[in-house]
Amino acid sequence: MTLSPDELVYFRLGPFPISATLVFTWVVMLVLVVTSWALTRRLRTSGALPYGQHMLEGLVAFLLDEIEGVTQHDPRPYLPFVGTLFLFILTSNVLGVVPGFQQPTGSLTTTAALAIAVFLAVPVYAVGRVGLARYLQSYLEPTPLMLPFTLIGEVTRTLSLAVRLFGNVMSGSVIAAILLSIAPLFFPVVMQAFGLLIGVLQAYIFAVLAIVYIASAATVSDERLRKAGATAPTDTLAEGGDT
Amino acid sequence: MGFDWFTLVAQLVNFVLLLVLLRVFLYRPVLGVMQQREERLAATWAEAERARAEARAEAERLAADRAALEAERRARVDRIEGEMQRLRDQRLAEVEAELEADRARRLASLERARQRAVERLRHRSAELLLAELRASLTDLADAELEERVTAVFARRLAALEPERLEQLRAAAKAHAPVVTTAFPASAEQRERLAALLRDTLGGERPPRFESDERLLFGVELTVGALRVAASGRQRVAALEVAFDEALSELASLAAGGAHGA
Repeated sequence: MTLSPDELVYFRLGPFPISATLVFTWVVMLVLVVTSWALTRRLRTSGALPYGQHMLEGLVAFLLDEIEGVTQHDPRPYLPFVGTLFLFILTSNVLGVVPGFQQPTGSLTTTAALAIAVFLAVPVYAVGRVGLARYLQSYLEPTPLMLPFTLIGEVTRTLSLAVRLFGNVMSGSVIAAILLSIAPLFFPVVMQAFGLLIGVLQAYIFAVLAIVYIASAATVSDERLRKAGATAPTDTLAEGGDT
Repeated sequence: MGFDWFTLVAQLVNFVLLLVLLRVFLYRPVLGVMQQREERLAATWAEAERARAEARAEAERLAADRAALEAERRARVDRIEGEMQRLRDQRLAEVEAELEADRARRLASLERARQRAVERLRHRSAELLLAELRASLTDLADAELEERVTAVFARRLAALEPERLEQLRAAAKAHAPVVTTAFPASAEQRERLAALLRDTLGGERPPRFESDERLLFGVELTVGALRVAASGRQRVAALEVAFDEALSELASLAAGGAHGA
């Protein structure tokens, strides 16, 4: 039994191992992209909407509502990042019920990569919102003595993101494997269903935490600068949005 | 459980690639369609609001028109009712006047009928009385009465006023006196009357004697247009004149009383 799909190396491209993590990540990407392309080919703006369009618009509207509820700003600039996180993790976790499917989120490298993406997205969105100088200045608030602790907080929460998702998914897989070896008839099904629920919840939690970190960074910077008497920045990202 | 840095970087790249792909194939078209539909809904909503405002304005205008029409209708109804009331009052007054006039006419007619009836009754009473009187006088008339009436005639002729007497004498010169009696006069009576006329009027023209039972009794002397009478007809005529005067006075008194009532 393998604890991580990283340990399943299918082949190597020179010195680079092509593990199950990468292969099934591509599978998930393929599923998402093909499904999106298939559903968005015939979008309509009037008349009776297709079921697929209803589903997509419902999903996008749900994500927009969640993002707006946290950020209290225009949610559209955050949608691609947060939505991709949510859909990728959700699809990976849901496809875990397919026999033989190796969940990419059961790999610490994948969750770490996602956490690093969040770690990088936080300053990107904050800088895009308040500017680089003001963002960096926020690390020195309320006192420069807090800078190490702030940096430690940034790193640890990134680690917590990665480990939380990895631990939940990996533990589900391990528990299912153990139960399969002990009581192969009934309990694995229950645990798979439970794991499915956990996977959906973890996707939601990861996405919400990501948007909370991004929003808090931008908001804290904004608040600190406002308290310092600086002019409040405008929604530059919103103005240069993705729509 | 190892940690593969290549896989970490590859997953980061994969994530970024997935983000780009989903942005192209999912977010952008879906957001675009949602934006278009929101704009269309907003336009439809604005159109609906405009239509609602127009409908509200139209409803207010219609309400105002309806109120104006209602006021006009009420004014017309009031005017018509007033006109009807005026015409009704006028017609009622006319009818009352007509009724009053008709009643007055009827009363007047009744009064005239009553007066005519009273008049006829009085005249009839007078006629009956006179007829009875005439019949009684006729029954009582005889030679003795004739003698006595002839004496009365002689006294009346003798008692004539001088002017009257002169007129008679002048007329007797032009016309022969005519002596009319109720019964054919006897020779003695004729002689006595002729003597009386000779003494009174002169004897230039002898009198002519006639009899007329309508005199009832007595004698009448006619000289031209002048007449001296002492006869029952003359008495009855005088009585009739007196009756007529009395009845006329009663009728005038009755009419005055009816008008006063």
